[in-house]
Amino acid sequence: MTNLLRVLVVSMALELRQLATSRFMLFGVIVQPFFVAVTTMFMLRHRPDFDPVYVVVGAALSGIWTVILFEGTWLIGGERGAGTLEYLVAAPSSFMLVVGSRLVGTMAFSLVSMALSWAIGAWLFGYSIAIAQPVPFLVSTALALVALWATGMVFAPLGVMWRTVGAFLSTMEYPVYALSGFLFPILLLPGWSRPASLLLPPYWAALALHGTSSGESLAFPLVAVWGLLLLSTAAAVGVAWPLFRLVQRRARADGTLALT
Amino acid sequence: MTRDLRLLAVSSVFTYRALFMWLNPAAYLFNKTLFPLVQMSFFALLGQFGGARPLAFYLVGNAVVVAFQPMFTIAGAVSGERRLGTLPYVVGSPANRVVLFFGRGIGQALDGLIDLLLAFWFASLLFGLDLSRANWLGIALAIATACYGASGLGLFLGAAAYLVLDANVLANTAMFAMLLLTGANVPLEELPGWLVPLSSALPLTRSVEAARLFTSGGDLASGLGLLAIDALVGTLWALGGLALFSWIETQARRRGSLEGF
Repeated sequence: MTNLLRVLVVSMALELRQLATSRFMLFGVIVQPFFVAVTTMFMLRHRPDFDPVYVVVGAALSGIWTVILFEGTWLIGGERGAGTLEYLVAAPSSFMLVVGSRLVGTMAFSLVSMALSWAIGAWLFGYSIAIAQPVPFLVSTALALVALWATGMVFAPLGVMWRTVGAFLSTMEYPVYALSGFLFPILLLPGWSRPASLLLPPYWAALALHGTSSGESLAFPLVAVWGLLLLSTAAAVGVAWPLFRLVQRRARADGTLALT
Repeated sequence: MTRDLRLLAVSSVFTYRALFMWLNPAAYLFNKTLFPLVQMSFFALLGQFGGARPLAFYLVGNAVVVAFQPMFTIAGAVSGERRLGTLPYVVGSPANRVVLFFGRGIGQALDGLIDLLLAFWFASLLFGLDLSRANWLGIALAIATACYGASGLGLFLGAAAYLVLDANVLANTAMFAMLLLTGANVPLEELPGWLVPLSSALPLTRSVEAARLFTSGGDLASGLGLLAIDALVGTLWALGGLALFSWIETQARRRGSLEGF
């Protein structure tokens, strides 16, 4: 147990140190959410039912997702590029635990975008940003972070095994914003895209966060949304598990990982 | 003159081909073609949800902003010289600097035209953008001007990346500034006064307005002035990039700091 915690803490610290010196990730967590939040405030503020909290929450989610998506997709590839992937896979510590812990560090780093979005709404635009249901909102935030982490865990092995898939995943920034309803309801999307939304953990995360922050009633009871959020998160981890095993097999048994 | 033209052609073709060193066909399809289309769709849907303007307002605006694509590739091509270790050869060569510098942008700018055409086609096909009354010559000119202007900005950002070391971050910042400040998503009259000079300095601001005019059937004369201003703004950015590149080169020669300026 102590060893697991040590791996978690060390991997998180390493990740935070690396992200803090990455210009692109600093852009993703500060500059991009700033522009997304300001642009969205201007675009949505004419709605009769405009709620600045909706934009603050949506922009924060978009910032977190951007960092998780790019870091998740590049993390293992970065180890491969540095020539350290084989050492990492051969080490006695679980490879999935190391990558998962680094993504926990990414989550912690991405929280900056949450604070930034709130500051833009409250200070730059002068809105009163009040959370309607603070305790359920905090629970939803914690669950949402786990859900986004789990989605990143699916993308991490996919991005390194097939370059084409990796290139495709890097375009998944806006589609996930849209399919998850971060900044507008998924009802605006064509009906055939609805199943994809329902399968995505970020969709349930956004539903819970928007519902508890604005106090508006949801289509499902909040507990049911949390249940579905946890279920989709567990499913994402379940999908990630065999993918990580495949990465390990290609690195250790086949020795072909560097060739993909 | 013939040598300079040859250099321009060779420089353009090789810079474009160099793009494919890192950009495999899948990356080209997804990053260079699909990404701008999903970005356009996202902001168009966001605008539709906001409801302040009709959907066509956001579709046309964001289709023009797709011109950011050559800006990315040009900025990357110029700044990539140092990362790949080829900058000393460029600086040491007797080639015409002006031709060499502008040659970095031509292939990418022409390729960017494809992205813009696809954006308008996509907006029409998927979102039903009404082009039945469109002034096609005007739209073609707006597309070409947007591409030209964004490419000029790309040349400047590529040179600026020698100082701040990251063309990607600079180009991304410029892209988000375009989404906010060119009138593509937020009408210019709604922007605070202190942001207006920034909006005017961006090379797509007038192209967006002209494209909207031409899409709704406006005559050529009504938008040509706007496009001329954007072409001038793009040229000023490109010349600024050349001046910056020349200054950096002189300083680097003087201080022997070419690789670590």
